[in-house]
Amino acid sequence: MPLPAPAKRLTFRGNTVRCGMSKFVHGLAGLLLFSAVGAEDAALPVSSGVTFPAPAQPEQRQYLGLPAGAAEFSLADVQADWLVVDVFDMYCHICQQSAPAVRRLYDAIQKAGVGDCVRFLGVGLGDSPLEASTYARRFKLEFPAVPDRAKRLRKMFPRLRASTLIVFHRVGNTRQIFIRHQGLLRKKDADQLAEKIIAAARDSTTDSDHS
Amino acid sequence: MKKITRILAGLLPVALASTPAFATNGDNLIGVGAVSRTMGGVGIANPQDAVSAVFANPAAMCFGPVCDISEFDFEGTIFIPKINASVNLPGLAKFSADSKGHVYPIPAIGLSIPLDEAQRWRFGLAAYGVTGLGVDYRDTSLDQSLKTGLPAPAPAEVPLIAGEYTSLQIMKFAPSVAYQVTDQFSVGLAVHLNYATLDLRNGSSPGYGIGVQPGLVYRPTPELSVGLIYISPQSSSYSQVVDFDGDGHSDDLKLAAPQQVGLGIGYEFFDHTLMVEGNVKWLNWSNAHGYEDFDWEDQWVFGLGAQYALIPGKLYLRGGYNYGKNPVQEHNGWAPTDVTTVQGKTMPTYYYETFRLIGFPALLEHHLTVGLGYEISEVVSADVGFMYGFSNSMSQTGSTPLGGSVTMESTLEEYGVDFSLKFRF
Repeated sequence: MPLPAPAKRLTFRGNTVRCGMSKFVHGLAGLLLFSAVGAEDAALPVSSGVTFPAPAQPEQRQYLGLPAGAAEFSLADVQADWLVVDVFDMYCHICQQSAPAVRRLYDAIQKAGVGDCVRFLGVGLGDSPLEASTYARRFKLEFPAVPDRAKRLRKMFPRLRASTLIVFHRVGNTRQIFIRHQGLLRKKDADQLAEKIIAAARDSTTDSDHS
Repeated sequence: MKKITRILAGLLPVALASTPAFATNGDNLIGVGAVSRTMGGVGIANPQDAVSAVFANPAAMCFGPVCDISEFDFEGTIFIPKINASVNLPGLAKFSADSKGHVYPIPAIGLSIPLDEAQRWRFGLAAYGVTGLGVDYRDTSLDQSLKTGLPAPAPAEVPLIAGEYTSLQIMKFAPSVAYQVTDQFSVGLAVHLNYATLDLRNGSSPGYGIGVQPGLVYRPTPELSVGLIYISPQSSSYSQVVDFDGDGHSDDLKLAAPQQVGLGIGYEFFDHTLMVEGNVKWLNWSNAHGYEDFDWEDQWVFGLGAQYALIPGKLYLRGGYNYGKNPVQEHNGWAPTDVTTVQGKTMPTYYYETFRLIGFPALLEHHLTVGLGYEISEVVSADVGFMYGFSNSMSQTGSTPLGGSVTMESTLEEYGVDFSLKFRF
């Protein structure tokens, strides 16, 4: 399946979704919030201090909305209101077991027509570029997967482990955690996550229409 | 590093506090740790905690549920054996007694930590009471002498049995290391350092042994796991434990834990909510010092265990079954004057038979296990379980040294309660 086009403002009519920020999004995120680790992580604003190597493939850079010449990027640079980050480690068998469910989540987001405002990014925690690309290829990830050899993501989340899925929502200049799932992601978990993300993405779009 | 030092220091008191344990697969527990034990003793392919990984297959430390962090387990097993023996002299008398001793605690501790930033090297350490055998018929009807009625210089009295009191306690340290060669394959090695005591009513005699346990795990798919292990023999010598040949001097006895080969296959069904594992192990008792002398035969042990996620990520239900044919071979029809030689010491066959059947009744074959696991939080989980070893008996018929017929019998049944607390950091 080809990567969706870069995010843009589209009027919601049928399958197209208008993506944009809403002044009600913060309260909405709090209302829809669930987290595997507790409310304190959900309320933590995430600043853009950590960077990753930009993908080499032009279509992946375009998917993330990165400029052509960027060598590195931060989560805040991704041009989407919603960002799903799949933290994996090639050697982590829990991550390998979760990969089909992550794909299922990705597919559900595309099928719901919110793929333009919900982007996915894989981060290989502790993996080299070869390891991250091998993982992405073996488990057929259809979104960019970048290496994080130095585990820079742990500067933002000190207790971060591989086999973690974090859904960020852009609030101002930062990304706030909407959902964090730790451990094995089953298909049922993916379906539940998809439901919440799609509803939140659509609701935030509706609020944008009304604002 | 300070955290690790504190944990390692905490292992020492556990290691030194050995207690009698009782037979399940011959002389071995079916498994170590509440998780493995409540799943029929499996763990070679897909162990679910640090203790199971270190004991069952050190290579599996790289593939546990917490493969990317550290885990410290505190485990406990409470063993409740019921042992009974009888000696029937037809036409004369029948002597029967229950072995004393009712509840035995067996602590265990396990640790698994990554050694490098990439977390491909892991270090593990477990300390536990893994084997043990013992009966206590002292001051019972079995602990008496029979009048011979023979003139001097023949003895006026002879003991009814040998082996009225036996106590073999073994504490094991197993430092181990594992390396994840690829994302689907890992290897590991554990070193078994044993301290044991043997008391045959002549005072406790210490013995030391060492062995190795290499292992490997291969995961061809995220659902399927295959494990293979080998455990080398571990021989210990005990000095002056009992006077086997009646010459007035206590004799030494060499006992060895047998070499073992094990294979495990695990598979996760239904979106990883149901994990099933089967293990098969071969225990080479017939070539192990001491056990070969007492005519134990090799054992094939089969374990089948399952873990079901009642509430995924929170509550788990476990169950299992373990079977190993009783390794103690049945002997019948020995004559009054027959003698048997054990490690160079000759004794009347009658006493040899009472010693092996009544003193070391490793008779259990079938075990049923159930348990629950609960994730209290992201860093702490608890497990409880119950094991039942179905009653099994063995009887032998022969002759006493005095010429009369005798039938001796032992019966063993076991209950076990397991619990554990796990900490992840």
